[in-house]
Amino acid sequence: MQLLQSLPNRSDLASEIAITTENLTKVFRVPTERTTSLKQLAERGFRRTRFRRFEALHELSIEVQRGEFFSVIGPNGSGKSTLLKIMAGIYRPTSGRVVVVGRLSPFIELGVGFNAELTARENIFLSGAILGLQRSLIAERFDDIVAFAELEDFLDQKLKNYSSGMLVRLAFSVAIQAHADILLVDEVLAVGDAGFQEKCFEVFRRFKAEGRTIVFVSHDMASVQEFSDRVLLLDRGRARGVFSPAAAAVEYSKLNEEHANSLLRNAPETASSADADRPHIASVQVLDADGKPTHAIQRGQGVTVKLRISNPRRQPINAGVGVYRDDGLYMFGTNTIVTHTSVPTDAEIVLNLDYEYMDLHNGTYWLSAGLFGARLAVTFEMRERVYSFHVGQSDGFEGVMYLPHKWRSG
Amino acid sequence: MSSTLKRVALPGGPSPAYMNLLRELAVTDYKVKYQGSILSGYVWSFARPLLLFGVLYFVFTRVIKLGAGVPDYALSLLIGVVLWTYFLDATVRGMTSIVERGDLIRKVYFPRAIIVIASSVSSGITLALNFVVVAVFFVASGVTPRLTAPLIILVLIELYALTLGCSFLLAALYVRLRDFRHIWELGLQLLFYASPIIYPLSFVPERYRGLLSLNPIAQIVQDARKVLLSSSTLSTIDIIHSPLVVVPYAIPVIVLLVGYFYFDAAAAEFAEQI
Repeated sequence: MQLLQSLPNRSDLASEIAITTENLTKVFRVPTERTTSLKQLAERGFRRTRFRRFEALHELSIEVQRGEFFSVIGPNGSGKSTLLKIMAGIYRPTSGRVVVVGRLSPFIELGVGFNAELTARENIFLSGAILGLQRSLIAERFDDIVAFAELEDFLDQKLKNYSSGMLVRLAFSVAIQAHADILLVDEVLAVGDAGFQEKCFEVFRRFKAEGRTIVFVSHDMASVQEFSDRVLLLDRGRARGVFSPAAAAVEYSKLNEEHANSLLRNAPETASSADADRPHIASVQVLDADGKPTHAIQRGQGVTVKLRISNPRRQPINAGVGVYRDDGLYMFGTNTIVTHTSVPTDAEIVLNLDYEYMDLHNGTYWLSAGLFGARLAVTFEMRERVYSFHVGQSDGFEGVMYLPHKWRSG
Repeated sequence: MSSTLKRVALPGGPSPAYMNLLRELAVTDYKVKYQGSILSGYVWSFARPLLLFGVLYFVFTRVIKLGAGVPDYALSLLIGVVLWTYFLDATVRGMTSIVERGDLIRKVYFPRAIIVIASSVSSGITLALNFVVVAVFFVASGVTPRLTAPLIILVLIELYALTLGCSFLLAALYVRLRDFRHIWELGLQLLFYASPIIYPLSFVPERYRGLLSLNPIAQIVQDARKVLLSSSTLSTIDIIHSPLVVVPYAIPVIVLLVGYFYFDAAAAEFAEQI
């Protein structure tokens, strides 16, 4: 009922669509020579400034349902933030249409407009005003905000003395007061400690239950999976599709791998000719128990990493593989030197690395692979992020790894 | 191809929220300007015009004796300096306001004009405090303000319109071309000497007075002195006796309109240009 009141008319509500984009295109014109001084202007004369066109979004048409938790994922530079900024009215679309029905919260990033020279108390009012909140409303909820941020004892300190964790807590506590039925959220959970993140998730659950529409931009598959109703996958400004969270995780991994492979293919062109017959990695794959390439595995399942290596001069080589979590945490690394494995000195080598159990938690992971000489000090090649896969977890264990264990009484 | 951004907003609009934002930004601007200073910010906001006034007063009454024979030269000078300081301070800060608030503009949507208005209001706080100093000087000199003194409000509205118009124009231009800072500082110097702030207009040869009176700053300063201090102050109306007399009064209105519409047209691109 409250929602009804905040809407302009019933016909808009009848559509049940909160945000529509139709053929939305955004082209940035990046000046190849930026003219910000008169001298440059004079030197350039009356020639037209040269621009490089960069298409951040291409003909994007999506509909966000009212009350939906709609996530947008994609690699860096895929247009996620541009889309959010157009929805927020910060950028004007180059062509196409955006229709927003309802009150939209203008925050894209946490802590916007915070002033380091002012105290936390003053910043709460300032930040609230930027979010469109009346001073009286903030005053009314002031204690709640401070309590939620757990900063009661630091209220009169200047923000420049705050740690980044404290800043995020303060910013989030103010931001959730925003009086909107559509929220645009960009990567807010990237920072903050685990305990506070859990509080944030709690708030998202509440917002969802209240029927607010949330558009959430992230590259963290785990939080996207937990909350989303639907997920838009963006790739270089184009929609790869709108998926269920589970399907999106697999599609995202595929996309990441495509990008990694195109890097692999393009890499030899950039290498100098002197290095042309240096040992190099031709491909990296993760195979399931049936020997099929996979990007989605269940936790506890065994997998094989298959490396194809080309070694034209048949040099003595060693290989290594590292597993990284999406946020860059190095989970595990192994190489043929520590395991005393001899690598054949053929021109074309296939190396299989069998992991008995992938006891990783729910999330997106990356493989890096490297080629070395007889000792690790000689690196022939280091390929970061060559293959991505998603681990699904249905048990309730927590943390970053599985420790084999059992409970006993007595 | 056309592009639209349709926003179905609440009836009644979000204007109270924007007023609230305007106030917060203006107060923040003012607070931050004097943050970290030993003396309280209020003291410093008096210091600048007072120092300028003190130096000019000494030079023109003791050294050059320009103001020696002029009645109430000190008060006249002070009024001119206070009004000029506001114009200078507000336009320079207004010019850089958009660029300096880049983080806000790239991340939050609200009418961009609020930033420029907040900056001019923040300088206005200093102006209001400086008027307290002017009042103290009136009392100290034993001069009673004229009965027309309340009309100063109209003069201040005109000054504000001119200042805000210039700020809009400069803020939008400064986003594109940073050289405007230097250009404007040169312009301000010219304008300072082309306005009867330190010298009485009566000292200017008569054939130049008309030309000088077309300058809105000259007109504003002279009108302020006239309504507050002395009916014998030469104002534009006393000097120009043709329809041209409307020129200095029209300039602030035109500058404000042109400035606002230019700013509004440029504002859509600010987020991408800063």
